Amino acid sequence: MQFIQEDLIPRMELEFAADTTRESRVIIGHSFGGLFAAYAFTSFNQVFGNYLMLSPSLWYDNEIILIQEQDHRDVIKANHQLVYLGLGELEKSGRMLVPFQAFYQQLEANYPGIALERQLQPHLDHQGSKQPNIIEGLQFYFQNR
Amino acid sequence: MKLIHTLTILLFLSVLSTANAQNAPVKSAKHSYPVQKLTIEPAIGFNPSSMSNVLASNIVQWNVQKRLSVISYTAYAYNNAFSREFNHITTEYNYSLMQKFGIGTSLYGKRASHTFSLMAGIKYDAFKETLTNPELEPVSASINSTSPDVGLMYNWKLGKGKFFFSYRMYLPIYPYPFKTTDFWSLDGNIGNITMEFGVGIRLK
Repeated sequence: MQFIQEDLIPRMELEFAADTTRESRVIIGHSFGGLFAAYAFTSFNQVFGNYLMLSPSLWYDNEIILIQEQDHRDVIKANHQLVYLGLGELEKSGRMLVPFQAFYQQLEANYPGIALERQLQPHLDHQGSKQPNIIEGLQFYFQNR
Repeated sequence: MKLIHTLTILLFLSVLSTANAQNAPVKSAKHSYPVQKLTIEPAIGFNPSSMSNVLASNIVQWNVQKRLSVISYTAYAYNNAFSREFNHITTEYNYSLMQKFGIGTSLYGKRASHTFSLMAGIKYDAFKETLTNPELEPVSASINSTSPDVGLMYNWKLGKGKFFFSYRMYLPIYPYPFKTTDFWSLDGNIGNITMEFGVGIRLK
């Protein structure tokens, strides 16, 4: 996260004339990448305004991200947030579905102004749901930014 | 598409073998594997990709002709059998029900027969998880999903008597390429490959 914040973002803004506001920045990740996007949401919320979390591994470390969200909620709920949560309907390994649902419920209940979407891709598994969730996540972002 | 090509070639080769077998002289007919008109083949199995789903299944195979069979396949899968508690996540239930029908063709050896069939039917998946982390609100979530189940099945029967050994392997061709041609959706196909072993009973 330090590399993204201190090296990557300044360089992109310098070389590609990217928008420099928090509200214009999007982070997207799948699986552990989705966990990383959720980590950015809870712990580096000042960096990104938009989060596309695809099949996030929220079970990691006894649902530490959900606990972090509770701990940091009072600080980060003041920011504008856009969150897309995507999963495959048939991710039935016994660890993906319920933390995903719990995180969604935490966001829905505690962030009144949030642009929030949850999507379960029918008949698809962990890898198979990635591509349709990328497409629908980006569509959600462009329609609600 | 590569998978489809491979499967098409395999099916074509099996048909060619069948045609050649029909043209071959019948010099040892009394020693060849008998055509079983009707068999029932209960079995148990697993998904080799995850090794965590166990199945109980049954096949009823009716050989309409020597080279043409009609097959019914029924299965119950107990999924995620060995990790029902994980990081405060409890799997309340997790199972699949499958019912498929198919047509196939058989090759006959001296002591065994090999049946290749194209199967189609439905699969019902149901699972429920509960999160009971003491630092979080308890939450439950469940899925009930019905999806198409299409694939190729290989069935090996060993033994000439009323009872025989039965092995079968199922290779799904859904969701790839029928729902999506995204290569990564193959994980859904691979997750539903099954290998099953059982005892067949010759009814007719």
